[in-house]
Amino acid sequence: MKRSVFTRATALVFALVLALAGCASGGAPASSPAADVPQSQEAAPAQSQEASALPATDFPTKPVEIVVGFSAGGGTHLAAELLTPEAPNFLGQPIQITCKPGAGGAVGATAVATSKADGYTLLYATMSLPISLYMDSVDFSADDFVGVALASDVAPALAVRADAPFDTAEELVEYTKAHPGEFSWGHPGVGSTLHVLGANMLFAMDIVNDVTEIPFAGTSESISAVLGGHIGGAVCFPASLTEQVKAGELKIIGVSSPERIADLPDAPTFIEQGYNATLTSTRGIFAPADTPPEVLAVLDQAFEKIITSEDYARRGETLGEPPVYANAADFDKMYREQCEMIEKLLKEIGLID
Amino acid sequence: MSLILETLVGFFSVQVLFALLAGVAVGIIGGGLPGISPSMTIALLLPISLYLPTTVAIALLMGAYQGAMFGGSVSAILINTPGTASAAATTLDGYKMALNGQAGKALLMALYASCTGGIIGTIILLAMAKPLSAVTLKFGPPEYFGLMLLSLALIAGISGRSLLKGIISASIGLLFATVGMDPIYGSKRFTFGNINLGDGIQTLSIFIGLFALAEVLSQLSKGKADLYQKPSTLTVNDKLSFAEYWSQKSNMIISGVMGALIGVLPGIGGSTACFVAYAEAQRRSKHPEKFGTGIIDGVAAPEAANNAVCGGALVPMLTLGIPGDVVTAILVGALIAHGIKPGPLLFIDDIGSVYKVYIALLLSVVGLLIIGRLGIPVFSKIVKLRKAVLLPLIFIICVVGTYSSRANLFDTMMMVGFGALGFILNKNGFPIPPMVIAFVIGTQLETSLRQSLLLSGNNPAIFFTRPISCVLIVGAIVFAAFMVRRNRKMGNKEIVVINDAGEEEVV
Amino acid sequence: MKKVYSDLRSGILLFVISLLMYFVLIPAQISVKAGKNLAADFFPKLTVIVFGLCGLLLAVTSAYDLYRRREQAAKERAQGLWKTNYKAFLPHAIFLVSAIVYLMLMQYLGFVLSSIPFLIFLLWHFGSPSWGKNLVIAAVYVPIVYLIFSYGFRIRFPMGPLGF
Repeated sequence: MKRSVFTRATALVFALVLALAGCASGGAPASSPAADVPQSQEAAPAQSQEASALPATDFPTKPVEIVVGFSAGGGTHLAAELLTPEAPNFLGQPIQITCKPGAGGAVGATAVATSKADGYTLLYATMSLPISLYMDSVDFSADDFVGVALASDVAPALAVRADAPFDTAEELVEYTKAHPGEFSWGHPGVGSTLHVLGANMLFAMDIVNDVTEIPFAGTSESISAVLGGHIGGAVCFPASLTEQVKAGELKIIGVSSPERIADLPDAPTFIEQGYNATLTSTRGIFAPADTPPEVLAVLDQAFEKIITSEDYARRGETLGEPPVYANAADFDKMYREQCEMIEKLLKEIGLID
Repeated sequence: MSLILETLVGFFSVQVLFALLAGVAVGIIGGGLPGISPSMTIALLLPISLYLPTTVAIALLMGAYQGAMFGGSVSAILINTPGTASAAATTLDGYKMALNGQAGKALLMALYASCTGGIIGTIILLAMAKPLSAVTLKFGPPEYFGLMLLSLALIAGISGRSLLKGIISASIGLLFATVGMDPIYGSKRFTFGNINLGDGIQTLSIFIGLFALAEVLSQLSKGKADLYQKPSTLTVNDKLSFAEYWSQKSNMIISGVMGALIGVLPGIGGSTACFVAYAEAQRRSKHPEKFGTGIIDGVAAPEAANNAVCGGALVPMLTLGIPGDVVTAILVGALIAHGIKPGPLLFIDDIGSVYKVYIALLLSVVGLLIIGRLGIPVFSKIVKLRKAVLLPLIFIICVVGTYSSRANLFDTMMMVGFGALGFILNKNGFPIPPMVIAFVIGTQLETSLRQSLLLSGNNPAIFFTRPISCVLIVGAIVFAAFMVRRNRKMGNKEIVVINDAGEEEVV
Repeated sequence: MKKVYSDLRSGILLFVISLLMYFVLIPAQISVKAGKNLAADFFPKLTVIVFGLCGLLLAVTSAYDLYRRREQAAKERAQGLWKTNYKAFLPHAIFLVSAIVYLMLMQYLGFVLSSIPFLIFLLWHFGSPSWGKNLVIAAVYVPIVYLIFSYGFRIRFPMGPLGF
């Protein structure tokens, strides 16, 4: 009796060990060990002249943590995970992703804002960061962060059922003016990026007061509601829409972007239809504001190499991420501009007073 | 037909079968550890699966999905701690069975019910994917409200002896569900300025606090000497006979079908399914008063239901590309990364991949059976530990578990608070399951009510002009009335219980 | 009959809490925006009303039951059968307080360093008398849990001074 239990226990432990070994090594399957990368790579002269004027640093000497303010397994988390496989090559240390979801990204942002500014704790945030500054009462301010790299830029679209009685933005405007209050649109939650960008679209079409806004728990629920005819339209990112559009179940009224996007080449943008809605949702890496400049320079170069690498582009394509990059200086500027613009926008649309 | 056979043959390679078994094993462990939810387990395997060939990856992930849904019952039965939210109902009878020395029987019933439920879920997926997806789309906010109301009506059944106290528990649970952001306006409710409450109280903190920690506290009442006693090694009828399994067949089939159908609806998942199946099994039963004392019916129903959810949740995912819950959302990402695009065109363009998913799901049930049978004798050893040692170890796991989901110690503090609350409630005779189920469905209940009113311009007629929601709401009222009557009848039977002081008491 | 008495107390308590919530807590914590839809405080108020009324009902039915069987009630009361032995809950209070202290310390000491002493204390508190044995159990169990969750499931624990 005892022996069979022992055998079973061994088998179970064996399976457990294998599984754990698989999990543990799963984090960095295709990358070379950190020790191989010479430290001199970081101190080598970089494109920017500032590097040579900064004190030398051996950052990083241990793994770098990136905090994601959204749930594990979600879109933002998966996008952040795109950064990890190449990290040991270009940064010299592995990147570890920690998900601290809550309050639309604010919990994660607070954690980074209050952490030690030594470059070992970074934030991966979306446009929800500037949004939460003004729509929420948060314990951090815009100046607590400095941009390090732009990693992703996705354009939202307004989708309606294929059999809806309007095909273009203009027809939608006509319809809503003729039947005020009838058209309802869904978004994944008050204060979410899609909510704000969607409200921006409607504001550009000047029909904000003629439509009903219905918050849902997530994008899937709102798409489901559109397909079922319960609501008129939904504002989503293209990745959630492409299959339905291809199958002819949904059609796109407009995309909020300066130019047409690769994922939906037949979908007109709002700007080309004469409505000024070109805002897209950016995602990028931030560091606490007091991080030493030499550390920031190392991060800047490393992320440039990671994000512009072919491997990143290839993996990003399967997730529906377009290839974009902006370095620390540009991204920081983008971020400050976004903060100003969002505040104004939210007031204009009426989401804050 | 030949394509099906071809795909099936493709599964019988060492790599695929090993991935299947490994997936199940990891799933069981992840599900069994409180705080590691099925979605976290699958999110963990996702990066690995990206580098594997498609069939292997699908086998790995499906195995983990089924394994996790069973794994939650292991800790639910052994230490009254639901390892996953979908195993919460399993604690009600499963833990009592463990206390009665029948841990092995409970675990085996959970395993076989999980496998049966998994098969039922797969069959429903195979046979009815397309028609079900059409029905799913018909469910808008009013229909969701009706469904939630129906689930709430079932609470009357799991209230135990006092319906009044059950309603009180449920309303407190609904109140807890309102903490956080108002779903329509986004304004903060009951957050006391604390950002950690911005999204509401974490489900895990409530579950682990009210079930596990409350139990640890109540065991503490026994006193040091008693807790340090070696547990008696009498094996009271600890095996599960085939006759016992077979006696549950209609219970498992009905619960499985319910679980699969609940899984089909996006936004509702295992945690609702397990309670609905449990309450419904109790309602159907010829001896409802025995539920909660430790009978296999009370384990078979929720376990069959929560594994059937796996198959059901894949329906909207495969046919519409709409994930039904967090796990299927991750699975969508995994499939896309392998070039499989879930959506209406999938069945036309790439039916081979659909077959891969179906077969993986079926084989994962087999995998679950194998690994489960190997593991159960090992798991049941846990009850052999002295309580004085086991309970502190459980508490540490509870701490780690509640911390894990958001990497936030606040959630752990909440768990402690709920543990104290659960202990007080137990002492005063207030039932816990109604509070838990009300909390789980509370947000969805309120949201769909208000969404429906938004759509109809504040006109409540919307609930009755639409056929499905009308049927559900009327059904809820009828159910509630029926349950109240049943409860009254039950109330007349006296039950003798051994209370904490070791005396007999008429309850 | 003690149960009936306890129901009476619970009922009254619930009713009082419901009043406090309705008139004090809800207005304080929920800001009601004017809008097309039901107000943000509609649902909370509804649930509070439900448990307030049910609590009242519970109190009233218990009071009535006590009145009906007042002779037996008076007898039991005189015998002191209704006394709540608060001292019996001292171990629970100690446990909960120590748990809170432990969680607060974890932020500074890290998971492993705070859990090992706490577990040793808890083992003793729950009845395991030998400190040596407790030390061994804690020193083995805590690192294993830490490794499984941090390496196996990639959970990041609070860091202590030693880096774990």
